[in-house]
Amino acid sequence: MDIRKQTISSFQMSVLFFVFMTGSSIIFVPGPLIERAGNSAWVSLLLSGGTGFAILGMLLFLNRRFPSMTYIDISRKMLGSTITLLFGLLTMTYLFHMQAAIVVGVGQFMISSMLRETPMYVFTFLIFLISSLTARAGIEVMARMFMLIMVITAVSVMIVLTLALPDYHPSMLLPIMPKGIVPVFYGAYYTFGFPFVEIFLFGMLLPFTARKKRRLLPKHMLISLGVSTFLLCTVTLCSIMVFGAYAAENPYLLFSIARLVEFQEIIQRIESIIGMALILGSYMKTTITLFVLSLFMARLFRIKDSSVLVMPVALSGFLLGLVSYDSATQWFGIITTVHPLWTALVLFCPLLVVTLTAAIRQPSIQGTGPDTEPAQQGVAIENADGCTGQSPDAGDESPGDPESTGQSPDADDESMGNAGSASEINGVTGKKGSREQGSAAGGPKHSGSSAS
Amino acid sequence: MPWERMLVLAFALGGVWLYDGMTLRRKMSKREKYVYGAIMVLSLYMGIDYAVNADWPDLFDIVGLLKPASDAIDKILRG
Repeated sequence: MDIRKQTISSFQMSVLFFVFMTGSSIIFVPGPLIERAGNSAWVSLLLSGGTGFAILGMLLFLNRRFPSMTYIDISRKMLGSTITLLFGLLTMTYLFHMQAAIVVGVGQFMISSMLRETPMYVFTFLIFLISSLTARAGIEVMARMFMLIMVITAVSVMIVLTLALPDYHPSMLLPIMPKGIVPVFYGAYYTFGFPFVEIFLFGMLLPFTARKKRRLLPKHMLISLGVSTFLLCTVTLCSIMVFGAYAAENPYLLFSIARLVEFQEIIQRIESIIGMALILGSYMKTTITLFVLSLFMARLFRIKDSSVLVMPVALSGFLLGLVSYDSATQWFGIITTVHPLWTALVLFCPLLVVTLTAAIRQPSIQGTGPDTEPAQQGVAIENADGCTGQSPDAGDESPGDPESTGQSPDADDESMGNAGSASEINGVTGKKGSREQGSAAGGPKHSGSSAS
Repeated sequence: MPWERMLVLAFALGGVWLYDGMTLRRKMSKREKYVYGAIMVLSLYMGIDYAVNADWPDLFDIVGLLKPASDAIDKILRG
C-alpha cells in the first residue's frame, strides 16, 4: 500500500487527534500539574487549553489556505527554503526527543509501578518495534486501528473514574486559588509545553484529509480538542477529590485511583486496566509522532517516500531514550522545566511566524480552495466509517496523475517544494494535461494557478 | 554488563538493516539514501555511546543551553 495515496475522513483525523492529545497525557499530566497549581490545576488546564485552541486555529487557517500542503511546504512557500530548513532543523530536535520521551515515560511507569527489575530497553524496544511497523503501514491503517483502541482506552478510564465515585470528597476542591493567580500560570506554563503545543504536529497530517470531508474538518478537530481538554480536567478534578493535597506527591494519579477502587469486594485492584490504557495510549502517540517525524524530514529534505525513513527514525528514538536517560530526576527536570521553553521556541514560534506571514500576504498569494482544486486520485479503499480512502472526485472527474494532483503531501516535490512556483500554489505539478483535466472537470480556473 | 548492551545494539541495528534491506532493496533514490545514511550514522554514534557507556555529548547537552533561562522562568513562576 502506497502511503502517499492514502487519505482519511475528517472524523478519523479527529480521532487520531484525540488519541494523540489524550494518549499519554491523561496519566502523566495531573500529578506534576497539581504539584504546581494545587487546587487550581483545572483552571490552568483551561488556560493552556485556550492556547491549544489558538494553535489549532492557526493550523486550520493554514490548511484552509493551502489544503494539500503540509506545514513544511507552506513554510517553504511563505518564508523560503533557507529559513524553513533552519526552523525545520530546530523543530526536529524536539520531535526526536518527543518520540523517545513518550516511550521512556512508559518504561519508567512500568519499572516504578509493576516490573521493577526489568531493564528499560525491553519496554522501549517493543513499543518502538510495533510503532514503527504501524507507522510504516500508513495513516489509513493507523486511523482504522486507533479507532478501536481509543474506544477501549476511553471506556477503561471511564470505568475507573465511575467506580471510584465513593472515594470522591468534593470538599477537597476548595479553596480553588489559595495562593493567588501565579500558581495557575505556573500550571498553565507546564501544560502548554505538554501536551497542548504538540498540536503543532498535525500541521503535517491535516492534508491527508479526504477532499470531500474537508468541510467538516474544523468542526471535528475543535470538538476533539474540547473533549480532550474536558477529559484531562475531569481526571485532574477526580484526582484532587480523592487525594486532596497529597495528589502532588504521586506522579501517576489515575493509576493510584484505580488501585483504590473496591466495588462489592469483587472488583478490586484494577490498576492493570490503567496500565494497559497507558501502554495503548503511548503506543498510539508514538506511532503518530514517528509518522509525522518521518514525513517532516521527507518534506524538509525533499524526499518522495517518507516511509523509507520510519525505521531509522525509530531506531534513533530507541537509542536516544537509552543514552539520554541518566536518572529519573534529570528526566523529570527536563520534562517539567525545559520542555515549555523548548517547545515555545521550536514549535510555537515558527508556526506563529508562518501563520502571520500567510495572513499578511493573503491578498497576493492564493492557495487552493475547496472549489478550485484539480481532480485528485487516490487508492479506493473503504475506511471504517464507510468513506473511501480515495479522493471523492476521482469517480466524477478525469483521473490525473496521483502525484500531479497534489492530493498526497508526498506528491512530486518539484512542484510542492519550490516556493513561488505556479504548480505549488495549487499543489499540481507542471504537467499541463492533469491541470486541464482538472479544470475541465468543473472546477473554475484559478487565477493563482498561473501566478508565482 | 557490556555484552548485554552490545546484544541490544546488535538486535536493534541488525533488525533495522535486515528489515529495510528486504523491503527497500534497490527502491531508494540517491537523496533518500543520503538522509537514511545520515540518520544511521547518528544512530551508530548513540549506539556506540550506549554500548561502551561512554556518556558522549547527546541532545540533552545541547538543550541544556536552555536550562538557565528555563530555571529562571520556573523560579519566577514558583514564587
